[in-house]
Amino acid sequence: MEGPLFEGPNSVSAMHKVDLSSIGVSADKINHAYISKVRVYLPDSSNFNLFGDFKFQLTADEASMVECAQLNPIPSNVSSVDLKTSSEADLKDFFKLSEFVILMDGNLKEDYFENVNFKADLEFTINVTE
Amino acid sequence: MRTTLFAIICIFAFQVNLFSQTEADRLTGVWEPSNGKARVKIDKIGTKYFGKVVWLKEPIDPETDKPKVDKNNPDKALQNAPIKGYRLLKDFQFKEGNIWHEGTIYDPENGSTYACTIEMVDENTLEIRGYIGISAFGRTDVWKRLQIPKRD
Repeated sequence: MEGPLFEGPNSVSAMHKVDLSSIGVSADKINHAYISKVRVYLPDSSNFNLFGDFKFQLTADEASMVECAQLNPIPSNVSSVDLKTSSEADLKDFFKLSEFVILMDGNLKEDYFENVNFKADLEFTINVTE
Repeated sequence: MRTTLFAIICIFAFQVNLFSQTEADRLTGVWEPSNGKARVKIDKIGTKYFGKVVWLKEPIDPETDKPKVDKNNPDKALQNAPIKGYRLLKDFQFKEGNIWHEGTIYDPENGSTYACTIEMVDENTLEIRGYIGISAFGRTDVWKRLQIPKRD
């Protein structure tokens, strides 16, 4: 997030280009996909004390936005957190596209005048019909 | 059926839309529903419009004495997400004239999502119509654009 940041809701996003060939999956064979792990890091070794919560969504021009993970509250004095993921949130439509946007929302507890950098590891579980 | 794991690493960037203002972008801004309980900021992601709660008149849940969360969400994994920051309006596309359609509106008071269209009556007034099935069976609310006092 590029500072200055103001108290309340803020958002960051990342574009992901879909390539299922590396795992040998054909998009038209996917019958359910969900996010099974989200771990967010602050790479600059600071902590999450500025943030009250995080929420993840996927969105694309050709698919409706889906909320898939959240964590509230964020524990104190940690530099990585695992979000609570939803297995009900079906994400299969996104894997049929060429790309989608991963959107992370976070409520900032107070104004902050610096940039904040995030990295996240995401793991999806994809059920495929043989 | 088989199950496959697929992992990706994301480096996040500040969400910014470097788009020139179009006729459709008139919808962006901060709006207040008729009940005055919330303020919703509408912005653009890709080619669609989304509205998230940026202010609540009563941010604290009197039952828990903590900030309100989405306790009526039908997905249990998401029930602890805060209402402040929640995207109530999702996936609106500009149709023509003063209409944005193909979107949904979420009511956190009952956890229901409704089909929705938005009509801009004038530059500071929206008619938000939520409905189930066909538009004839629904409810319309009037939202006003938040006016920022001009400084001399």
